Amino acid sequence: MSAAFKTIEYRKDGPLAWVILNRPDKVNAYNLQMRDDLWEVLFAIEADSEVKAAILCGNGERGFCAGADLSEFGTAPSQIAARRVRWERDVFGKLAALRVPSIAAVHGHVIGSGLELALLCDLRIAAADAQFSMPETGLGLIPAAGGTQTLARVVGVPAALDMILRGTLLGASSALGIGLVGRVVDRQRLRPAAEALARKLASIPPDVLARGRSCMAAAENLPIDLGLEFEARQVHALQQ
Amino acid sequence: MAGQSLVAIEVARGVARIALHGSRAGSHANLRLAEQLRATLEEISVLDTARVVLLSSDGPDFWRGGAGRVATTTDVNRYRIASHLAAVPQPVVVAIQGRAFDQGLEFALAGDIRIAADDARFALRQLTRGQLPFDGGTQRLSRVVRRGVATDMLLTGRELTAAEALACGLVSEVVVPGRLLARAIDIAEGIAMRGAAATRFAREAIRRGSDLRLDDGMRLEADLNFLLFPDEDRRAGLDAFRKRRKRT
Repeated sequence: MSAAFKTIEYRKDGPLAWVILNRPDKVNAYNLQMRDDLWEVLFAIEADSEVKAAILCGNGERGFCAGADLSEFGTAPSQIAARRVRWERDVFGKLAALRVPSIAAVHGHVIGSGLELALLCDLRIAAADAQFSMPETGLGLIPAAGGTQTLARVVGVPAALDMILRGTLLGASSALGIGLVGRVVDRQRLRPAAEALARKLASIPPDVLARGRSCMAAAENLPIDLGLEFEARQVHALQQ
Repeated sequence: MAGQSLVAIEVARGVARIALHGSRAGSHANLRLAEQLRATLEEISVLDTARVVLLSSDGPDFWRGGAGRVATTTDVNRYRIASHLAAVPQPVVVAIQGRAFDQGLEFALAGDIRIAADDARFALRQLTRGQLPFDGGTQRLSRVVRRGVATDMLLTGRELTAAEALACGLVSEVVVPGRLLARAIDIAEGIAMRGAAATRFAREAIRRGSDLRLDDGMRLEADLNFLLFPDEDRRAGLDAFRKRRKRT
């Protein structure tokens, strides 16, 4: 089954949901239409109990996503209106808290919002040609799809400061070195490798997987004593 | 010695360079140095021409460290400098050569981007001398490097080489000693050319956000982003981007 949105190709393959950014002529630049399409796709995934894992990737030769479509910047009526809309349609929060595990499979340009989308997924796998950067501060902007938070949590505060304050461009092997991605494969192996990983996740009993993921979230958000209690409750609940 | 300046400031091309200098800078229990550094940091934090702070040392060592004479709890605040460095609003680049020991390492840990010469060495030796780090080292070290490394350094006084510091993320670059300052200035000037409010806000979002729950950190980032909307650098950055786009 597949469904076409204006900017996203959504394809279901058994337990796997493929979410494929599909503005290849714009290197999949993230715009308002893509936000709205992604919002609908994420709801479709949430509502579909067949789906056990999601893969986020991009169509086109040049890359996964070259960042936000800056031609739309400055179109918000006011700061107050922009703030309201941000939380009315919190697509980044929705992706971060998706019911099923998510894998970003990225190639070529993985820039700005593109990198932020990948960072909202559970796992990242990169093609050897992938290039990563957060260029926002060079344009007087800051990452605003959670990047200042997620990057620091994935690679640590010092590496995040370095990338965001300097706009450093990283190749795939450097990204692997600092833990920004977990695996690097040849370009033609990217989707098969992501699929294999997703099938592995999909084969884990959903209840176990969900509790494992919530334990990871607890490890991030709770002090250790409460995190240990949380883990113990999850173990206990599984034994019931 | 009285009245001699242990700290030099120079502002050029958006970078405020704080140089520790004189052979006494960074030796033990230097109350006068602490006072001068606090005054310097306070001055720089309200200086609009300073978009980035660069901290370096003129001597063979960044900071030699040594047995402190910090005796009483009322006294200890007078020696503290690291939180004053963390509190400046600008991004802080730190250039480290030779020894960065004890309070010197604690001080460097309060910066944002550390680079080192390949002769640099890093250690927190206080516990091995029956003292505790008093300038935030126990907290900042474990937020910068993995817990295993932090525990080893804190409890055993283990000294890291520049290569080891690079491997564990304590520094983000290592260069030959003769290139250290030039490279640090290069990095600092590079950041100074980016949006001034943007680099400050990004730094704040990363640093403050890392101590928050993820959803609260996301809120902080989003609000800082909305605050930036009327910023002049932001407008100029977007205009320049659109012009480039049109040309190509």
